[in-house]
Amino acid sequence: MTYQPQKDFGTPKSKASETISLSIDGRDVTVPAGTSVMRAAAEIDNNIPKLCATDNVKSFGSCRLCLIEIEGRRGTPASCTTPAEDGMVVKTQTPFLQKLRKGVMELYISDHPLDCLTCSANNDCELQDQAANVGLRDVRYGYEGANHLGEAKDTSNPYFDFDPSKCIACSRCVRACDEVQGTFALTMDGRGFASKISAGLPTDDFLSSECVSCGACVEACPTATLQEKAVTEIGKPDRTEITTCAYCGVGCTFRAEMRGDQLVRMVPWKDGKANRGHSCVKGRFAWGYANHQDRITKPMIRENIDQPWREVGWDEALAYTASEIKRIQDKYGRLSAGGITSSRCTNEETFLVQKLVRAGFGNNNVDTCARVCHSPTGYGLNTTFGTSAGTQDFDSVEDSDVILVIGANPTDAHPVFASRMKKRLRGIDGKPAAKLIVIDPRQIALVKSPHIEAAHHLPLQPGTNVAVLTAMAHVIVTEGLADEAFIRERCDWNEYADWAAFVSDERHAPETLEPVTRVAASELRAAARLFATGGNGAIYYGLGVTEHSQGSSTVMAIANLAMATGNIGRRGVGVNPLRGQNNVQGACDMGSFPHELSGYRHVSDAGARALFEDDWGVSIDSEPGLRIPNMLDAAVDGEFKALYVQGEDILQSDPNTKHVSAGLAAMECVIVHDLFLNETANYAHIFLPGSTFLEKNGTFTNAERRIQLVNKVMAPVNGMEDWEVTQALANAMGLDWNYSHPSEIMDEISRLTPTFAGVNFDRLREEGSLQWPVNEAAPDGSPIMHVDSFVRGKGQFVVTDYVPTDEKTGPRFPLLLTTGRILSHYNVGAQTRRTENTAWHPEDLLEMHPTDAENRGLKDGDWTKLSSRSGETTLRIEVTERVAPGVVYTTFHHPVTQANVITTDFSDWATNCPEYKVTAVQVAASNGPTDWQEDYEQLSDQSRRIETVEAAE
Amino acid sequence: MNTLEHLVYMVNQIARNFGTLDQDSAAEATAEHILKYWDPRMKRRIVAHAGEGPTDLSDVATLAVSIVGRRADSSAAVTTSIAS
Repeated sequence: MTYQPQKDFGTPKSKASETISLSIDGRDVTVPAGTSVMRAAAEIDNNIPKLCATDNVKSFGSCRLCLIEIEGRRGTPASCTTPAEDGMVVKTQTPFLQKLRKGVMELYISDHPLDCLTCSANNDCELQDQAANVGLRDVRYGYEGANHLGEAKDTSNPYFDFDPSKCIACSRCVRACDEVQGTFALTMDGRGFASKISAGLPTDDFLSSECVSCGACVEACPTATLQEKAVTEIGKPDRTEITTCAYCGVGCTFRAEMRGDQLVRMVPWKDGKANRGHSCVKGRFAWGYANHQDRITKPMIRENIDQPWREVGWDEALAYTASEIKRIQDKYGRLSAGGITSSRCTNEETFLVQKLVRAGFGNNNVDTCARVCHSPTGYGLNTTFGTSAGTQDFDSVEDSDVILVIGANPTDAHPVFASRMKKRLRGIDGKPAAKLIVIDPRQIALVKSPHIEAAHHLPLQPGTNVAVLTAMAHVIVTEGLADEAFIRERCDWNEYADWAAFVSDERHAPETLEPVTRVAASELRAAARLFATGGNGAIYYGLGVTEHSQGSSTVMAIANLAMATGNIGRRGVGVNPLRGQNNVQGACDMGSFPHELSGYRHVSDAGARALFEDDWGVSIDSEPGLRIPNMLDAAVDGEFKALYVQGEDILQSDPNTKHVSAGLAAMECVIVHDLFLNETANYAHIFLPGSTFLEKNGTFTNAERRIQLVNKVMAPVNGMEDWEVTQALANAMGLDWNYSHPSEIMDEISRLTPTFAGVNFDRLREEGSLQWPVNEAAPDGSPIMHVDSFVRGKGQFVVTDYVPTDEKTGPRFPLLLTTGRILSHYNVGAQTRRTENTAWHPEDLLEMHPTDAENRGLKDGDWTKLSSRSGETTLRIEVTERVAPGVVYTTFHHPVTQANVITTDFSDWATNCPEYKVTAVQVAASNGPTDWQEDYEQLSDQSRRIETVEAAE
Repeated sequence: MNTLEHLVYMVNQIARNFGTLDQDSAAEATAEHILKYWDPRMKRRIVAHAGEGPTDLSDVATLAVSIVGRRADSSAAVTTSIAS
């Protein structure tokens, strides 16, 4: 479509179900009660002139442009602040109103530069539009006298500029920062003529301020005051395409605004049901990696990893790959090869990789990066509820009364959902604020931020999640706070009775466990009481739950708590895993795990296997295949020799780097299919260049089980979308695949997967998104699950015994290291490190409590050596009280840091999900990189050499 | 730990997490877990290891591995029929 800005109704949509009717300029309109006159008019395309109103924030009534006349009332009220009433008769255009508006515009324009032709917002400026709409022809006051022209631009933010000369002081940016993002970084400084938008203190610019660069202010600004640098450089976009963000599991939808095949900007889509028109610094701005000079666009091969890479054509690369897999399977057996699907690629691409392994390699050796993040969610929720997914949609949070956040840091890792959660925690729109319980070793930003304070923060000792949750269950059961009516109706009473007896034991009392958990018993009791009695209770969790030796037990303990308090099956409640990557949910749904086919059906299920065998014309192995850590072990044992990795960097992201590199080094054929020569590629023999989400069609499934379209906005620079590469490889191996579009792959998925029965691209295009299950029982999809009964029938209470991790602190390693993420970077940083986001986070830092730092003679910014039983690395420390004494914390976004040299082989008992969150370490002053870091850098440089081909004579 | 020690560690860990069940039920649950999630090579290796004499497997883990050995035998026919 040609470029059109998104329609702005001026004020937010009313959620009332009751409707009213009124007449506007002689036309009747029916709207929900509580709708403003401005919005009611906009609904019938009567766009009343406005400047300070925009439908993402509450009405403000300051610009005096949207005045109207109402029959039987005196004066000219502002239409943005006047609620529409039944029977109202409104006039939006009269000679008097026209005169008033013109007068207002004259004042605005008298203090605004008249450089429209060379202005970055030319033709996309609301001030310009309104000047035209009100018929402004001259400014009687002239342009002399005091004004705000010629003020210095703030260009500190890497993605947008702030030009105060063009500001009309409408404060839309301030309100967007407050109401939409919830950061409260901006303010209107001064009064009257001195009014000025300020990012914090007078000494602050946008970059040094608390601004998180979400872009809400830029989106809200009606002029060129806050403008994307890309628009200034390139110009106004001329077409748009809706697509889905490829960063975290929130799954924001964006309008990719293009000029030719050049992306100008990504603007959050107001109709997107996951993000509702909001965005974060990653999705909105950090897409520059797509054109980064490090992108590899040609296939490359090398016989061994000491050689430089040699660029080859696609045919040669694919033929060589196919012959290597065949050679290896002939020599070492059918089970010696496998693949890893990507949680960053589309459902269709993931489905094809697992199909290639099951149908082409003839085994089930396929796994996915969910192994190292949310595999315990699949195990735990499937066991207790009967389905491996979260129970709610994001909108559900609007009806929560108590929100329990455990092992998640939403403001950094899921920022757009965090903003929606924070909205509920501030209690706007007349609803009292929801109460917040945070269970986390660190004082995450949610614990105390502007207008939000957790009722309880339980700063537990890392590794004691199960003990804390069992102690909470102890309080709820022994104090008679369990919802027995719900349990009798929805769960197996005998299982509940066993579980209740277990948790009621005195050894699970908060007081008994206090020395283990280090959580004050009184605080834990109060938190448990609040959760059980505070109304709708919703639990949100992340990798701080799953990435432990008892990750699966913790997920089940969470499910137990939700069932025991009756918090399942309606809006406002539920168990909500916050998914790390854009398509973790989808990758799991698509049969990426070695033990199950798409839709979570075990490979030993002959009926399910038969479906695929008939469709694909092959036999499917009935035995589970290898999980990622098992593949590496098998490689070390010399029995696993070939691996196809699509869109994952296991060497950087997986634990115990030395073990991963030993496994990779023992393989004869490592095929990396990626955008960049990532760390895993150091050990690769074949490199197949990948395509970005901007260059492909397909679907992603977010944390709400919401399936959304990814639309190609530009041609893949490597020549093929990733699904086409996998198809070409399959065909090189002799499989006869003929998909001409990902929609055909989705048709196959829905044919073979009962929960996807009603999903197809046409419906997704029409409806925007669908939440699985979409089938005969739920034709329109399932925003909330387990409404009348659990998918498995009765909800299952599972006794979760606390088993301390074997990773112990001691005299040599007295501190506990836990790892996490930061807002500006994503996962291993392969994408975000190749964008301007490095302005906020140029390196990984080690957070340490002042007491621990002082004991070691360390101060803020010092280089330190971090060592564990696995290895050692160096990085600088940040001294902060965010972490408790005895606990240190770092991120893993930078390969130089090699945080995973430190982490261990310990993993979740049920799923082998690595225990990233607990490593016993020591920290000491350092005078330089470790030997490992130096060796690694050398290897890394060497393995990125690409042979230059001499020009033919 | 080497890869065999790792397998032993994993069985013990699974068994320990079923520690609130009585010994037979815990062994059954552990065996079922291994049958459901472990690849044939890992199962064969741990079964063979348990057959070689004293191990570091816990009592429940030892029982579980013996169950795995019996069940894996009976399903071996299916597995080998499609092996190349």
